[in-house]
Amino acid sequence: MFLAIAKGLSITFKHVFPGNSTTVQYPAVKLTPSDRFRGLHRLVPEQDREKCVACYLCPTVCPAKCITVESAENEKGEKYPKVYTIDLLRCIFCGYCVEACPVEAIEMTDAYELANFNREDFEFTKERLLK
Amino acid sequence: MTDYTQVLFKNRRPGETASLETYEKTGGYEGLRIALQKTPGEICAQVKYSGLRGRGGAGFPTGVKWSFFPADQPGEKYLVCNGDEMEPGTYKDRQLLLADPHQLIEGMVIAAYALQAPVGYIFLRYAYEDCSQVIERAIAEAEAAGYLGKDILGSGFSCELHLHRSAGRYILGEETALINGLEGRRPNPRSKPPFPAQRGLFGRPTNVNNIETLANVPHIMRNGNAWYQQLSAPESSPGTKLFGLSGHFNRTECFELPLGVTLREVVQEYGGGLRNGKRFKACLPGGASSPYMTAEHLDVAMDFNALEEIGSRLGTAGVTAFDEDTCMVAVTRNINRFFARESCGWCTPCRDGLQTISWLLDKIENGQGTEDDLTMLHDQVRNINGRSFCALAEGAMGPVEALLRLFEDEIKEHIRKGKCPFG
Amino acid sequence: MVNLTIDGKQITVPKNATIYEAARDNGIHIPVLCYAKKLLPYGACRICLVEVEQMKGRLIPSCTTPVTEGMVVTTTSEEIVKVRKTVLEFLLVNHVIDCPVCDKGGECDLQDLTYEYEVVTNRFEGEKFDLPTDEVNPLIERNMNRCVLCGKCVRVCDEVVGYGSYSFINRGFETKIATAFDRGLHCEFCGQCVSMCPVGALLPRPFKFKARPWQLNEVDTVCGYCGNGCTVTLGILDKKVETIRFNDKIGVNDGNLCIRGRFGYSYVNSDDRLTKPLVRKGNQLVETEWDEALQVVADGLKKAQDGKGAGILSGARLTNEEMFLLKNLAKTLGTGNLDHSGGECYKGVTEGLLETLGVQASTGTFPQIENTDVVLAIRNDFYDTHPVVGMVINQAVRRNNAQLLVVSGKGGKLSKLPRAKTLLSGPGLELDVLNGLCQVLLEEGLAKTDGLEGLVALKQSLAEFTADKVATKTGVDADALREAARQLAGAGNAAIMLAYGLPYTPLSKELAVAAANLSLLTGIAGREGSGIYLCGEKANSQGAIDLGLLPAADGLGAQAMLDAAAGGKLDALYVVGEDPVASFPDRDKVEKALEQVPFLVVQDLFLSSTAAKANVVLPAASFAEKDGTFTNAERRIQRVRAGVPSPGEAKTDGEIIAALDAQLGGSLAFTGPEAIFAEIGKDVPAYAVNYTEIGPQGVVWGGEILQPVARKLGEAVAAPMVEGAYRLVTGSALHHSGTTSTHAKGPLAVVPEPFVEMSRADAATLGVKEGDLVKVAGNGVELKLKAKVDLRMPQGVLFAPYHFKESGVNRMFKTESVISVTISK
Repeated sequence: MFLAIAKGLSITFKHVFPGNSTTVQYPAVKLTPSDRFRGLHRLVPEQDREKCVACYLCPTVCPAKCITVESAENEKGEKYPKVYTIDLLRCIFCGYCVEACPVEAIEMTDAYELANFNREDFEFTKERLLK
Repeated sequence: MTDYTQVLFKNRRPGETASLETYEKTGGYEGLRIALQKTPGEICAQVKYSGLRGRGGAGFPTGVKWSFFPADQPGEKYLVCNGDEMEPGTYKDRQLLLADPHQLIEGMVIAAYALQAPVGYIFLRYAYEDCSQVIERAIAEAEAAGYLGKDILGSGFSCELHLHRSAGRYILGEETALINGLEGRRPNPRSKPPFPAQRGLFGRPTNVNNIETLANVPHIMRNGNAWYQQLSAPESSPGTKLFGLSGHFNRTECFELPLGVTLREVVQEYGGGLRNGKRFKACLPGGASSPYMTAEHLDVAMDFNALEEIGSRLGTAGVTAFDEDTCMVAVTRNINRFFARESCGWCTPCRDGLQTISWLLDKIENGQGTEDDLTMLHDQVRNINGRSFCALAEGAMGPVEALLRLFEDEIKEHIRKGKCPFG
Repeated sequence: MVNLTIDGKQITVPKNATIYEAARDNGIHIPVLCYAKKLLPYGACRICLVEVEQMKGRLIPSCTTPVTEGMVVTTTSEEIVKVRKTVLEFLLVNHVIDCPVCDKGGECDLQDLTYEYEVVTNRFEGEKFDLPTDEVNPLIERNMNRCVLCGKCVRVCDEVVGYGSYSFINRGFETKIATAFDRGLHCEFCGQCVSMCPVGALLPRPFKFKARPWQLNEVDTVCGYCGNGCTVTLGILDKKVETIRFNDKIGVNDGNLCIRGRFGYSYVNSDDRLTKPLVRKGNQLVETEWDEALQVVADGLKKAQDGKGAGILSGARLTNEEMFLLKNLAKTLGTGNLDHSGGECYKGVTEGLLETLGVQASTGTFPQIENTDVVLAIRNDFYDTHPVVGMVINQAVRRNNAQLLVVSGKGGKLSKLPRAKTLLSGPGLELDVLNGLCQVLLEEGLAKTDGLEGLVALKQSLAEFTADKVATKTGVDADALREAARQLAGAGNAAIMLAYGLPYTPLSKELAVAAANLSLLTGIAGREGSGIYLCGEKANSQGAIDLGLLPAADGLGAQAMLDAAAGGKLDALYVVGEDPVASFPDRDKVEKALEQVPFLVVQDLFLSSTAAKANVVLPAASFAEKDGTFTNAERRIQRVRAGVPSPGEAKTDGEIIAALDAQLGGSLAFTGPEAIFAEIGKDVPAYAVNYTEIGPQGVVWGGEILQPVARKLGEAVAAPMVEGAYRLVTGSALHHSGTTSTHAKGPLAVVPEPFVEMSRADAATLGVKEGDLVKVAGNGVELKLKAKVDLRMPQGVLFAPYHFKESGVNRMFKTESVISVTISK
């Protein structure tokens, strides 16, 4: 029993020394999430417009119903999202929207610093999502 | 060359069309006189027992077809002669019309009487300008001589014939498409049932027969069934048939031969062998929609049943021969292109299926084919056969199916070498 | 009946059923692409192939093959699935896979089948087409790259609509569907093709990129335009009617609609809708609150009633319940001056039929028309006023070989149907031709005169209408007239079609009497399978008549009210859902009346030309915003359902009337449509139907055949002969209905402005080209109208529709049906 306690404490004490710490000095130091991390959404731009064609699959598949799309016709007669908004306060970051997109127009970035002061700031409009 | 009895080509002289006078001298319009003495039912029965089979390609017994026709039904009924001879490699009807057109007129009047359908239409291929003049003259002559028009030969039966020149598409040879074309519509085949015998031209009972079939009728009337049946050997296919030879034969002409002659006789005696002394590789025995016959089939009798037994069809008996230097993949590709182009575009398997086969054959012929393409080709033949709206796609599959059955090695050689072995 | 086995299930079906129909009716799913219930069997797509034991060796198309006794059918097997997959692969070879931007996505048959059969890859690679989309027309987008060549559009346009815009062109792989000379669509724009298209090749332009089908709420209601009573399914997104959905499952129209029904919905969403009550203060109409507005109206009406009297004039697009409330409001107010839509124009039914047949409605129902042997259409305009009944007539003619007879002063769609015989008379002389038909029946002993009253008087009055005399006067061929009468007399089942409405006010009673005479002499009235159809112009014209929205014995009718108002003998007029200035005959008189009347209240959707003159304007609700019932021209009571809320503070007419009644001290309460409908039943026995039992097909009061209660022939009267080089008639145009459709974008996109239609010969004489502005002068009025040149107008006859308030056609027509005019560039 004594041996087991000593073994356990050795692990505990090992973390006291530099180099063995798992915490980082955020915000001075920031971790890089893995490639498959699901952070803030991004709409993919394509030349003079967004890649999104407003097919309504993402708002349909979204379990939190946080995506609002309104489609319209542009000057070239193409379908485009006149409105594309994600309400991040509702979003559960499940990534279904990315999965559902038939034209790979939406992706999830590694941005995870999403805190804000105003409720309105969580409304990510098309312009913000395109950045 | 054996001296076979000439029936339809009896009055054939090079560069000359038999006049009414010549036709009458050789027993012309005697059949009509005999027929008018009989009842319509008796004529139908006689045609049925003569064993005459349709010469348009399918070989359906003519008398049986006539027996389906509601001759007693009151109101308008129509007789239509299918002269839209668009099958590649086939030109027998043209030869027949240019040689002795009155046989058709007489046959149609007898058929019109037998079916009690006093209005007849001759639906002629667009390109047959010469035939149209011949027919128009023959109709005028027959009318003047009282064989056509009101109260024919004092029998009280009246009959009028009209010539209609097709707009010129392969699909018009399909009888219901022909009826649509005759009505001025787009020539798509119609759904059967109702069959033309029930609702055909202008919604009325209509009987459609090939030119050669109708031209046989007067001879049967005049000479009787026994005479007709002794013309040829096989019991199932009595009478003579016009064989139109084309392709790599030395002699590409049209001959009247009894049904049941062997392919060897056709090739060697009448075709005079193949040009440049080459060896016979294969032939289409009855137009582009009939499956190939090869050298191993040379002793097969050319009649309806015998050819079906070996997986081919007598069709129109337009024999197209290919010599040993011919690439059969290329031949099939060309034939298939024709069918893909001539599809009316109505049903999916024919419209899109033939096109995909065309692409596959192009690919193989150009040396880009793979084993997968061959498998797919096999698959496609099964997918298209028996799935389409009318017989066009099935006909188109004939040569493709035969290519796969008889010349699979040749296809594989294309794939293996990555190019056409015939250059 | 035939017995057969499908997938091991023993079933019994009628002997004319196909395998597909037999399976469908017994809950067995067979996929189809080119099959459509209302079209003839086609059999082109080959998706529906099945195996039949008796026809081994090939697969049988189930949609074209009739069932036979003892048939054993298998609908799925490994082979069948493989074939269906291959067919889908074939279709997808040249189908552009642009589902994300295709509005059909989500309700596309090809998409559904591809999913069902798991066609995830295509073994075939081939070229895709890049055909230009047809964007010439404003309503229907044609993208032939998505077409699967099922031919439904071709067939519906030919078989049902009878227009024939489309055909297949080219052959083989390049086959495509095209319009004449591939020039883009130019047609009636009924949109039937759009509703039938299984893929996104034909789409409604007004709905382009608006929403996905699954986002839409669907509400089944009844179209608010004409008296045909078509069921329309509103496609609602965010409380807004965005489109009309295809629905052939319920309703009398079998999924068929006309341009108004399918594309004319947008007035509901119009920005011009009234949203607040307006009260005139000084010279201005000022927005106010409901309480104040209702108070002003109540005070004004009360004051008027104490003075020279008040009158109520209603439109015929109110629901039965609202009309009932309005009738009771008149009682509360104590006035008998109550009428609807011009009054005079309804005399055909309210007086003509009543005097002869003793009923005030059509005697048959629309579905019966399809099985008639002879159809007599009075005026070619019948198609223009009631297009969907016109499609039923077309099917009677095409499918069942009915003989169509048209008595008309001009050509038109009906005259173009197969074998149609048109008795083309001089303009406005249809009445004489009908009398001529009666005379031939009597003269040739074809008439069934047993038990008819007034025969002697009719015979006397018909002396002037012998075939030859009618021929001389009207220009109809005498032999054709005789032949038509014989055909009508010899028909087993026959239908007589006559439309009535505001532009057809003159001689409406006389024409109805002549038609009724004809129906009595031929025995059509009340006979099983036959009928005389008098079809009202508006959605609830029949309801207005049934409920008796008519002047009381001592009261004034519509025209009398206007006369009284113009003469200063009426102190108030309450106009509900009607724009008399734009649509009533004799606009000068109407304007004078409305200016003279001291107190005018208008209740409408828009600030119409009548509302602009009002003291108070009350914002009302459209058909899409209210619940209740409409009664169509064949006596069918159908449910109207609210799909969207009214804009702003607009209220339904029912609510307004009930509130007004309360202000007037009455006891009416808006207790909801069901309760009010029950009240109607107590008042009108024919309406004693349980509201909740009004099913998807509605309830036809009086039964399929309404038996005439009288058989009294009316006397024949001649139509006045108008001479002149150019004679103008008015009427309804196909693309519009009343004045409401002039606020709807769809119909406006096709026919945006008033026009005068003339023959090519006249146009050539006048040197006028299509679209030129011409001056038409007659009756002391000069109009400037765009010229429309076509083949249907006889030489010397001009036609100007009445729908547009800016045209002033009704200024020219006072009481006459034909006017001699001069026309110049």
